[in-house]
Amino acid sequence: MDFALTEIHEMVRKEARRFADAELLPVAAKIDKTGEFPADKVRKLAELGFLGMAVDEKWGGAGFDNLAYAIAMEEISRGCASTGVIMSVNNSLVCDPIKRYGNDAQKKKWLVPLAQGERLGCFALSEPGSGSDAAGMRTTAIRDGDHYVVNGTKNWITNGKEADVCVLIVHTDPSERHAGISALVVDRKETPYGIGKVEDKLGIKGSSTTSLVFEDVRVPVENRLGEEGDGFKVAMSTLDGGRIGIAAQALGIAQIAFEEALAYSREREAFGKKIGDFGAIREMLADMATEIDAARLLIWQAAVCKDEGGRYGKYSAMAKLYASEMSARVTHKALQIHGGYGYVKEYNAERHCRDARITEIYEGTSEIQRLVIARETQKELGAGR
Amino acid sequence: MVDFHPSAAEAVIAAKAREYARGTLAQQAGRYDDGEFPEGPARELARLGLMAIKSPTEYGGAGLTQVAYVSALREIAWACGSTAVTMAVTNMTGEMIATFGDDAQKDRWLRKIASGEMLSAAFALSEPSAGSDASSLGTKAVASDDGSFYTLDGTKSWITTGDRAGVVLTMARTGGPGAKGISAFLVDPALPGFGVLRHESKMGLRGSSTVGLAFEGVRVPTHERLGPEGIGFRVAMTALDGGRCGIGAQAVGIATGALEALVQGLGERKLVDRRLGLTQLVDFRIADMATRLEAAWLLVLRASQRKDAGLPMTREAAMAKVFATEAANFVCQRAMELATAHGLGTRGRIARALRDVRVSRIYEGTSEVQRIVIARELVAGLG
Repeated sequence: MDFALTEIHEMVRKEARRFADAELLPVAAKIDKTGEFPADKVRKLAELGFLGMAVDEKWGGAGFDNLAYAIAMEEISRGCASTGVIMSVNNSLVCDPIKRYGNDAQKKKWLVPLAQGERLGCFALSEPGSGSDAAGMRTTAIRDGDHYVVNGTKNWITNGKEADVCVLIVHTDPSERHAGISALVVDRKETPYGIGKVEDKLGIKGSSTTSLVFEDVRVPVENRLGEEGDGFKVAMSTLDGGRIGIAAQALGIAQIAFEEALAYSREREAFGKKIGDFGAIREMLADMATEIDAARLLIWQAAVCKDEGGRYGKYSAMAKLYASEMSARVTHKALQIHGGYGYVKEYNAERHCRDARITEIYEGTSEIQRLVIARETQKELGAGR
Repeated sequence: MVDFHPSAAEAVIAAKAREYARGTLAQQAGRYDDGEFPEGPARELARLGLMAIKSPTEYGGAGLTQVAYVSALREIAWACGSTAVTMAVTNMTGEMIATFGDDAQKDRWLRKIASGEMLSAAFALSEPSAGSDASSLGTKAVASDDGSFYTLDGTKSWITTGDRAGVVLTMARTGGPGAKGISAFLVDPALPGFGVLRHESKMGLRGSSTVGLAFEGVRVPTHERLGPEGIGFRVAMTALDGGRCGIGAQAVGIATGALEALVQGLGERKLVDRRLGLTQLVDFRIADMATRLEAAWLLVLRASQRKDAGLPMTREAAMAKVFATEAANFVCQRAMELATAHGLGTRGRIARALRDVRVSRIYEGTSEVQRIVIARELVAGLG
């Protein structure tokens, strides 16, 4: 048993933190205010190898493991939550399924440029009428010779505006539910699709969230990941991994909120002493620090389990559930410690609250995580035996 | 390298504890809840090598790690909290003798602890008016003129297995006020002037005795002083750093037992009304319970592993204790509510867990003290 990072992991942490301190923290508030996609930051992430972290070097990636990815995700999100989710989607939801289900031709064509950051990816599962109930999707891809003809609308697509490679989950056999679902890679340059409205969001405002509109888009059959009917498995296994990234994003947001609140508590005076000397403030700080550590351990456990090739779905669900709700609590307390200054934009506390909120919703709501965890727990503890 | 797996030896001793806990001990635990001291289990724990897990093998101990200790303790607590706390205080006291004692002291006491020749060991720090503020303790130890013994006078409170112990590690004041005036002594309860006061009647852990101790002119030989004069507070704090990992593990073990009893009870009844969506509400609570226990256990393991690696771990131990004991209380409360609502056959067991787990937020440093410890380092800029 060991909780010390290897040299490589330490190096990743240092690099990511250096980048976050120098490049992200100074502009995170501006990115939030303007809502502009941080294109130059994303380009620099690519230079660091952070857009395809757990992809083999052979396929253009950095060749790190999932623990390194989780560590980097925390640090980048600590600097800027919007940049964090852009990175998370490209790594977890686009590179990862192509890496696991793609054939060599598909990897060469998409995984290499995605991992190198020459292209940016998005993942399209949710629809206006189906979120948690993914199998209730309506988008269809009907076979016509060597092509699928895709029709439907996808919703809440992170990176939707900028991405030009889309991992799209569709019904190839609408008469079936789960079994009729397939995964396609849609190359927007070759087979353009429509971009719907860009959502105006509570937080992570620098990342775009759009709908994608498919109207008779003809996608070559060779773009399918795995077999027909594999799509639900592709989507769910992808989200298992994605949850590690989102959990780490939530952790990074909590970490910076905590650091700022701690610094503030050491400066701000009231009743003749620093507010950090009051028991009430100290209790908040102690709980924040403890919960942050608990979340980090859950995330590392999920990442290491994935690296070891174990069944990690329960661990990643626990990590995501706990880290996202922890982040909501911690950012809430951080704002409270700042008092009125926490509520205005002169400080960052209110932004962290807004940025943290989505982590309880996307890539599986807290409610979905609880269903996953309850199912696994009852199985393990022998319900009904 | 980050690695969540125990070593082979750690896994073996945890498995041994698990086998005993889930067999004999689970069947007997109800008896000890009725107030009977778990004498049989205490002897069995010694036989299994679980009473001196970290003591060196040359003194009969298992020579293993803190990770091994908390892993085994969690398994025992799963079945019986009273037995677990007896195991915890005995291991902790033995570890202090192994850490701070001289060869003669180790030879004299550790073998008896490891072999089960003594049922348990005890740790006497708290007093009627010194709990969280331990450095203000008032029990006095006055050196004799010839330096051959100390005379101890004072009263200790809340001493786990204080009436059953073969040795009582006692903190007493040899010098001036404050932490630096405190020394540690290995007191043989057979010495004249040592007396057991009232047995507390407790909400939970009813099989483990909790007593007051009276020291009335107890003459303790100088060779039973643990380390030099003035290190008593350091001994106590070192004991508590490790002890807090243990209490965290105990709490996780008790709560895991409650969660399992809940899940199995629900499985047996199968009467949860699906039409009202109650199944999902129960599922959600189970998910929250399992998640908090998982996080709690990781914090306990992290603090324990740091202790094994010789790294500073006061803050990590405090985090583990406050998080684990509060998570465990949450789990036992929720389990009790659900078990009662559904009239489960396992609710008696869950009720015992709820009563047993409550004190974990209090002893070996209350939740409030843990938060003070954590925040002190943070605000001082050490975090």
